[in-house]
Amino acid sequence: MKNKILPLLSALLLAGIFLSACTGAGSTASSWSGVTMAENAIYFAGATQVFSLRPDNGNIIWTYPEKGAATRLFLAAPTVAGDQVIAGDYAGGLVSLNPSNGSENWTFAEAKGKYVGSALATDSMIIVPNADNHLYALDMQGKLKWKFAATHAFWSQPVTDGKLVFASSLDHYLYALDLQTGTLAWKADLGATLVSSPLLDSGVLYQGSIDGTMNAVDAASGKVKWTQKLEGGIWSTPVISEGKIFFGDQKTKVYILDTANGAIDQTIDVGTAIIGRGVLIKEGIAFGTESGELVLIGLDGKKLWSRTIGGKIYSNLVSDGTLLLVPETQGDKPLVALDTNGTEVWYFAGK
Amino acid sequence: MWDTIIITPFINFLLWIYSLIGNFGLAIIIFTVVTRVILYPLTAKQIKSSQAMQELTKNKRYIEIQEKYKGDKEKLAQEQMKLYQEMKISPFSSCLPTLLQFPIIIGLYQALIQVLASAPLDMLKLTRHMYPALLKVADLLPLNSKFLWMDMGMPERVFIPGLSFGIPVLAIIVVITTYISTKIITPPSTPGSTDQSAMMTNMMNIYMPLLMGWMAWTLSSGLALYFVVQNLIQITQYAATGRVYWNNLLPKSKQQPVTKQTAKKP
Repeated sequence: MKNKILPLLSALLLAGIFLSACTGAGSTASSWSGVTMAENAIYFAGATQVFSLRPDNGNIIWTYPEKGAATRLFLAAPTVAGDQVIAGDYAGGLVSLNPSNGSENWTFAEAKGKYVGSALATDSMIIVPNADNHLYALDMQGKLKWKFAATHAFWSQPVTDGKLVFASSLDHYLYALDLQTGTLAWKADLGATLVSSPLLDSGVLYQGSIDGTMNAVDAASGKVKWTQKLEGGIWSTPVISEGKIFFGDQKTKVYILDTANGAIDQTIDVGTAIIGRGVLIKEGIAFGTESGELVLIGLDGKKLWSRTIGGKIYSNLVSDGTLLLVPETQGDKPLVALDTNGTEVWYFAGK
Repeated sequence: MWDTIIITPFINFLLWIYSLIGNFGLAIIIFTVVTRVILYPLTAKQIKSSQAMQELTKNKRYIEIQEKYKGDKEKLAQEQMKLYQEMKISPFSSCLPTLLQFPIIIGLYQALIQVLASAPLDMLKLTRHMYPALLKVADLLPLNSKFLWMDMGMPERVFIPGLSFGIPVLAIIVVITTYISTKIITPPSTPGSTDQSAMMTNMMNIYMPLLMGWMAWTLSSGLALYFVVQNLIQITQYAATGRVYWNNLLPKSKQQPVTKQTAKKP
């Protein structure tokens, strides 16, 4: 009898594990990691822990929490807010950390959803997007000043011009709120889900949507100045240089558009999807691709070089002008640091 | 391959239903009903075969063979096989439909998970599964995952003032319906019986509802809803065959001998 029950129970257990595995619950594969560069440290949201790393060699300065748990995933890029580092997790927890040793300053536990997007820090406030449909504004001690409810999740970091805060939501709307009070100034329906942050430049917001439309919106009025429909979904914020915006799409293209009217200046086929934001380095704009390549596109639209990194690159790239940080998804090197010629300087393999 | 022939069509079918009615909970219910109706010929065959096997265990010759070759497993297997052939019963015909259904059920389950995308990578995958000719990303996403008091993408809990924890109502319903769906098809065992297969079935009747309940408790409520609807359809399908043992659900039914009154025949 015992001989028959054991296989039966094992089969049930296996079925349970198999079905649970299908959900991706607790899996690091539900999103991609974010990284932030500060003067003396790099802050990397490496799934179960936040790492503070040395910029020169990638060695660990501290980790938070000391022991990671699959139930608490940190994937949004941490934000430096004065003398604090702000990190949100996928269980709805937001924490302020001491940048020198990673100890907790305060926590904020009101949000009910995931922190997919990073917090925005001003001189006196921290604005945090959450997947529970709310944008939370906190003071520097973590006390709630105001909150704003949309009809769907906020997945991206807001931006501000000092008076208004601009936040895009999955509900198709780009919202403009008074920074001090959270009062709605205007909202613009951009027709499709917005998963990336807007780029704010000279009073204009450039916002892509996952149906492949790039929109230019007047920051003061919320009026759409122009739209440009492209081939694939847009998952990242554009990079601006010399009156042109540069961004990739979910199909295989990098686009260069004229900021004045949205006209397509150049289309560069890189043969694979570009999900994360590119970064401006000395010769052009570097983009990470889904096939694990780092591609440098010159400001004239020419492909200058490409380097194989390894795993998929979905995250936003970060650079301080000398070091280029590339987080990998589903690869052996969670974080790779390169110089601006694309030569690997170090990589961080996790703890 | 698996994605192309199973997951992607299921995802598109589910989203297509959603695009027509705009309610994700109802879309899951309709999706489950339609797929179970399509799979009904397989289910019916499985029910018929397992009932034939149950009948066989009451056959006089079968019982004699069990007694006679108790100590000789090889001979017992040979004699059983001979009896199956004589009575034109295939012992595998009750498992084969189940085996055929299994990948479809797993596919349905995975399609539901992917549609309930609640993080960027999940949504990226979802947009790639959608047939552009059938569905428009801009119109469909984000999905409205609210249904009654539940968010289909989150585990379900009902919070009552004064209680510091949420009550998993849907998970409890999953346990109850799974228990009913397994219990009503189990023939009552003879008092004093030590039949190992009956004991195994009893174990299954306990562990299966608990396993399903645990999954409903920990996973998204959309899946729990799928489990509930699937169980209710299964109960209905068994009831339609006319051979269900409702008395099994009563506390005293175990003590009753098997009679024609307890097993309703068509």
